Amino acid sequence: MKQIWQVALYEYRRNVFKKSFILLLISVPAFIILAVGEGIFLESLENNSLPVGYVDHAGVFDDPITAPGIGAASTDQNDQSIEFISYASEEQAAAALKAGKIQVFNVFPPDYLESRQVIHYHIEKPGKNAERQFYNFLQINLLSSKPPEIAFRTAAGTDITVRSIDGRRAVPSGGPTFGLLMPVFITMAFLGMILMSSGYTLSAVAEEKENRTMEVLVTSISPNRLITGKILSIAGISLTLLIVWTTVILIGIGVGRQLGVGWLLDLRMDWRPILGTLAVAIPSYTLVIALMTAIGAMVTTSKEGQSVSSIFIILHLVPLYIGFAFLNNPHSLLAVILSLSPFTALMTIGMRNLFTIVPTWQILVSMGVQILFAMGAVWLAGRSLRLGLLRYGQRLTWRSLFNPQN
Amino acid sequence: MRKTLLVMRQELIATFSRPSYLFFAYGIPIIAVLVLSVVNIIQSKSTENTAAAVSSETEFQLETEGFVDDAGLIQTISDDFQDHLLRYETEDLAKQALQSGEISAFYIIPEDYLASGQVDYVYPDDRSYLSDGQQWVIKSVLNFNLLDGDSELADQIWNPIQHLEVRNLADEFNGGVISREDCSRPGADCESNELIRLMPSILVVIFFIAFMSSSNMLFASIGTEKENRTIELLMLSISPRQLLAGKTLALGIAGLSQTLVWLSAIYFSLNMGGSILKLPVGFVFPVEIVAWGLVFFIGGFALYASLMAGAGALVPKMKESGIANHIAMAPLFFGYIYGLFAPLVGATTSPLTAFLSFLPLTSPVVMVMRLTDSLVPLWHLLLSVVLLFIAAYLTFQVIAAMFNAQNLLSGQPFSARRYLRALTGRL
Repeated sequence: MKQIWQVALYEYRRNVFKKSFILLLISVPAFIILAVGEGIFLESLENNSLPVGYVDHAGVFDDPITAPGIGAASTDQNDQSIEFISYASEEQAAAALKAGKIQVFNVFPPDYLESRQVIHYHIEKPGKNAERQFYNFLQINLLSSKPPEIAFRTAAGTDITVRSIDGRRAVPSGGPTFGLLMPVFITMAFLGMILMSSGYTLSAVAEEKENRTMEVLVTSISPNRLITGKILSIAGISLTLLIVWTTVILIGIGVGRQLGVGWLLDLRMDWRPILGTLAVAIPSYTLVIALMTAIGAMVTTSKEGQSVSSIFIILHLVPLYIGFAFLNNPHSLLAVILSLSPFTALMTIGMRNLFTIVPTWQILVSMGVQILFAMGAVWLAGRSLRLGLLRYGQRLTWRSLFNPQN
Repeated sequence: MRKTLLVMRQELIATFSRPSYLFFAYGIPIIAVLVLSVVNIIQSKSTENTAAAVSSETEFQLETEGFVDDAGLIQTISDDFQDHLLRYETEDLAKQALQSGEISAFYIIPEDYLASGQVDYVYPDDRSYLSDGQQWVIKSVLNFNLLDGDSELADQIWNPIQHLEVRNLADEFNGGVISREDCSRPGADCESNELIRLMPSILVVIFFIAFMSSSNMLFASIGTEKENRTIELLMLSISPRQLLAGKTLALGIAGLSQTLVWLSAIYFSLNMGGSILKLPVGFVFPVEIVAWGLVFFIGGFALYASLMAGAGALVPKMKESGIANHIAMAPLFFGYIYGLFAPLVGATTSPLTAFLSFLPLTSPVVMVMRLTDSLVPLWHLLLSVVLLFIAAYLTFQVIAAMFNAQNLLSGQPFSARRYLRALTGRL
């Protein structure tokens, strides 16, 4: 046991305290921050706080009503409130537009109530907030004869929350909440871990074989202890990445909540799909790590192993590309098959948990399949390491791996 | 020159005999076009055969749903929805009806609906919660009842602007009138078709992948030869500059042919598969986008492949290539994120977009996005191309200078500082 920990600790320190690893650790959150920051900046360009003008020949705005609550109820809560200015003629409004006093003006011809035709003048495309708020302003004024609460509700509209029969899952009209997306985040985190650790896994043994340290190593440690120590170190490296990135994300969530980002205010979670995804993700990760270790022990160079291992990565991504096929029918035969199959189960279960409630039997069967395959892969890793231990420059074939005489 | 061509030939053979490259570069787009063509043929044949049989029955069918009105608002249901919206007194009764298959979903209108505006839409467990269903039915019925059955006013509120005429006062030449929606070419002006609207972002993704994959191939090619020490033997008979030129040319050809195939696949798919992809009649994917796209690919590849080759020259082991990749491709990544989001938020005409479409480090993706989104003045394109090619030429010269035996045979670890010092000629 002591030797296993010695190997694990040595491998962990050797990889984690490298400058390149620390940069890798920082680079992913930095790229995320850059992407999110750029997205927020671009979204801010969508809005324009300049007033909106209108010329009313139809008498819709004779006694204009402004209902500030409408913006909050039916549109983006972060919309800057827009002022609406009435002009007697198109000329006056056009002069104001050219002078930059307003961003756009709308003309309501005398027959507007019959034709519902509106003429919209601008120089540059107006802000989305201006379009949204003017639409609400028009609706509330069309309802000026109605009691205020009726007018407000009709103009603000209805928010529909789609939910399951038992009420455990609910998707609000604005799209999935942070809690609902958690299974997808878990899936992505495990996929990221697989991608990040694949290089370490493949080179775990191949490097020692390449530089011939293996000959010295096997004189003092058994192959099984060596491989266990290496797998433990890789798990530790992946865990380090996961913990650091999760911490950064949690800090981001905290900051977002402080800033009042609506999407992050509701963090309620349904633990069933989260646990279901984790139940499939952990054996799926073990399966890939063990298989890659086996391949690393079979091939002669780490580069050769990379080309084989990319197949496992591609298989994991297959459900992402054909996800549209079960977007509207998440219980189709294809979705069930992909949920139960090794390699594709992780992504399929993660995605389906967002669209629907995955039946418990499917989670249990999938977990069982992944565990069985993971056990087989661990056995394969041990066997390939033992058989390919001192084979230099010679690739271990699948046939010889499964040959009982070896 | 002969040696450069020899390196190029060798690199081309190695690249074109790699199945993963062939599948990714040619297999995927060819399969996509073939599938689309077959579906197109089958669809056109079945349309011919069944044209006569098409009747009103094939039109959109409303599902039957239920509702529980705890707010007591719904008094009347218009004839259109009479048979498709069934009232239930309690949620339990509605659940039973849902489980028995009598209805496909049901709504719960809570007592405080007037204040909250919230309605629950209950789906069976086998249905995707991300599907919108037919929410518009209950919204329409609620509006109708809130307005005491005044269908005319309800319709006016539902759609207060039926004809919107947009006039741009800055556009004096064509009478100040611009069309309401333009779906004849890709871009944000086509709001009714998501595929056409998102086409600029899709092109940005494709170009980013093309730059990443072809630049990575060059990086890997140099890095691997450095790692397995073949470079030591190569340097005995060829100069580093010839080696870099040969590899860049070969992988440029590979990348260019890959981009050409991908763009052609998009061109043919969009121009041929209109009905399958539900594109509006009259939509054309302009061939200029393909032509200019290839020009920007050549310039962008020359620039980024040079930067990646420089990073590859300084990386002692391929295992340590991650950081080098990130540093060399960071400006492109910035342009990619910008190009991806700009069409989605309507920032394609902002001054920042214009600036990034001239900046050589971001123009290969941002200008392609602009080009796909709308008509770009010719002088913008020419200026951007000239700046890009000048930047690519200068970068190639700098990288060629650092592509020397001292760097190539050095076992020093890669660092950002060393890379930047090498780029500025201080190494």
